[in-house]
Amino acid sequence: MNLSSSERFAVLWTKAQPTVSAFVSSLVPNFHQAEDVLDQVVVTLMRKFDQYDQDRPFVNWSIGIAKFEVLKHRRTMARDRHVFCDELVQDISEEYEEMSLELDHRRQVLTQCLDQVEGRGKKALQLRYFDDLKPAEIAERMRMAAGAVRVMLHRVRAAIRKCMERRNGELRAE
Amino acid sequence: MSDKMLQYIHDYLDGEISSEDSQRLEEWLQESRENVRSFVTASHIHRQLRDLTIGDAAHRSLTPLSERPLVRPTESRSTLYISLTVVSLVLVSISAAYFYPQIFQQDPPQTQENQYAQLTGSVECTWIQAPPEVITLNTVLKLESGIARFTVGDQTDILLEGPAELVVISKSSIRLNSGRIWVHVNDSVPGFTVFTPGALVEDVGTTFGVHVRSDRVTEVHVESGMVYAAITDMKGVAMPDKKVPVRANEGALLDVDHNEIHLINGLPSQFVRELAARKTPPIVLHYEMSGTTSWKSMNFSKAERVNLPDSNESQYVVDYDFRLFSTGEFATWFYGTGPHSFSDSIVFELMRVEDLQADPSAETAVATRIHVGVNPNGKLRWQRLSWDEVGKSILLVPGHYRLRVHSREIEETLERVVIQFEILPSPAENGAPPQSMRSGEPPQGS
Repeated sequence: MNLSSSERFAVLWTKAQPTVSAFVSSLVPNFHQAEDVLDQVVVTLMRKFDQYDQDRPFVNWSIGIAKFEVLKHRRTMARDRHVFCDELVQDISEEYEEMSLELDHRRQVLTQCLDQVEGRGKKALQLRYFDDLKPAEIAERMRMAAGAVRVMLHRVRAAIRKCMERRNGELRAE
Repeated sequence: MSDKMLQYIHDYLDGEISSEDSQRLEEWLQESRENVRSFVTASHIHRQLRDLTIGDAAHRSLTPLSERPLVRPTESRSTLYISLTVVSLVLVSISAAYFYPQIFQQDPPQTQENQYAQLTGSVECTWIQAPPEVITLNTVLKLESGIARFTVGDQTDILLEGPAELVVISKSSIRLNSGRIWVHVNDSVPGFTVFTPGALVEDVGTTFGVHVRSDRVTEVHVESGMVYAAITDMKGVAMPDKKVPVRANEGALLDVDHNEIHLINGLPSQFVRELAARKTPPIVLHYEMSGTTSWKSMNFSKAERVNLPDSNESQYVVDYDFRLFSTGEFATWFYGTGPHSFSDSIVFELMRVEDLQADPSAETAVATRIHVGVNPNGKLRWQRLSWDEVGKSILLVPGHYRLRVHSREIEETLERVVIQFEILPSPAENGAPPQSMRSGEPPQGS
């Protein structure tokens, strides 16, 4: 089957998108800003798609381009206290490229671990990720102290991380 | 990696990290590639949590209702993911052609392909975030006041009543973050879904209203047809054991915080159902408290027994929320009976919901409070309430109100409360409300 250029791009981008999206979010934590940057990444990738070396993993090429879009975005955020230095951005992008294959397999495991979260932890995650609320806003909704919400979110995510490590270990053992 | 450092990473990802902690995190990341690897793992989980919650909700909205299982299958993740991928392919192809047609040598798509909804009318609208000319995917509509009418997709009409916030997430679904909508779904539409915080309403060829209340309870009231109302999990998927059908003239309260669904009598008349200037009708509240210790006819948002402070006694409390659209002098009547004539049998409190949000204890939110005695002869009768103990009416401004009724005795009957715009006409002695009040459309089944 011969795929057109647009179809090839669609196939490759669909597979790479979760990892590239995570890379952008790691350096632009605000979801809406990250999604704006990601939009720009897609436009740039499409413009330069004829320059893509097919011997190289598409996700790595995409992360390389995403890195420049992130750096461009950071110029407007230079005063933000949460901006990492350029060297660290380079390290993070390289690590994402190295881990891309491993990260690609994690979604299903995450889904399984997420199903085990119950009660207030589940509710806090829902408010954080589905409603996109900050911990202070979550605290207001749940009638808790902001610090307690911050700790609860941390503990739930740490538990999910441990669950994923355990399940990944089990999968490798199989 | 220490727990403390993982906490710093999570704080950073939440945008909550202090300058000092940010500096510590950066120094720690620069210490080794292993630390960077840990950071990458945490940030990847962070992003995937976002994608899973939003993506699953959006995916479901793209799937025709007829193809959706009523009960979520336990092992459907891979199927969902494949479907999501296919949908993504289509969307990416469309956006690719839109953004850079030269590469693909295709004509740019028509505007209609990117248009998910269209504003078709408005009355007295003040927008916080006005709709663009072309309402595309994920457009946020923030209406401060007034009524706006939209067509979502091809054939679903929505009346948005300010204040409200709505997001268009596909041609067959929207997300109502707050406020009220009235929805009419054409029979030919295979399915339409309204997502709310922690709940959803799926239509089955229906006309219905949805209200996301300030206490995060979602109300649905069905005028015709049927909907499925459900509390959702954190991925926006209906929980199988928290999903109920709601038919014509029925309603449901989806209490997300307590993970409960209550079926109620439907009250579609509380929604704005046509694009026209609003006039406040008489507000007729029906309920019954009689006999011994329980409420009957649950035509109210909640009724619970509460203990009185510094006492072994308890009382029943019922809240009834309603809205006013006009400023004016309002007269209030109640129709009931009870064991005593002294003014301590039933207590009415009227408060603005906005004030109540600022002071949940309601101590300062109560605009008016009156203790009333009811007919000691065991005979139902109308009695006008005097909120301020001077006049027989009260000046109210537009807004959300809550009428809180406390029952202190066990032999009372309070059958009906009417709040009307003018003092006259008076209700008839036989219990029937005056003719002009009947337009208030009391709840069904009272």
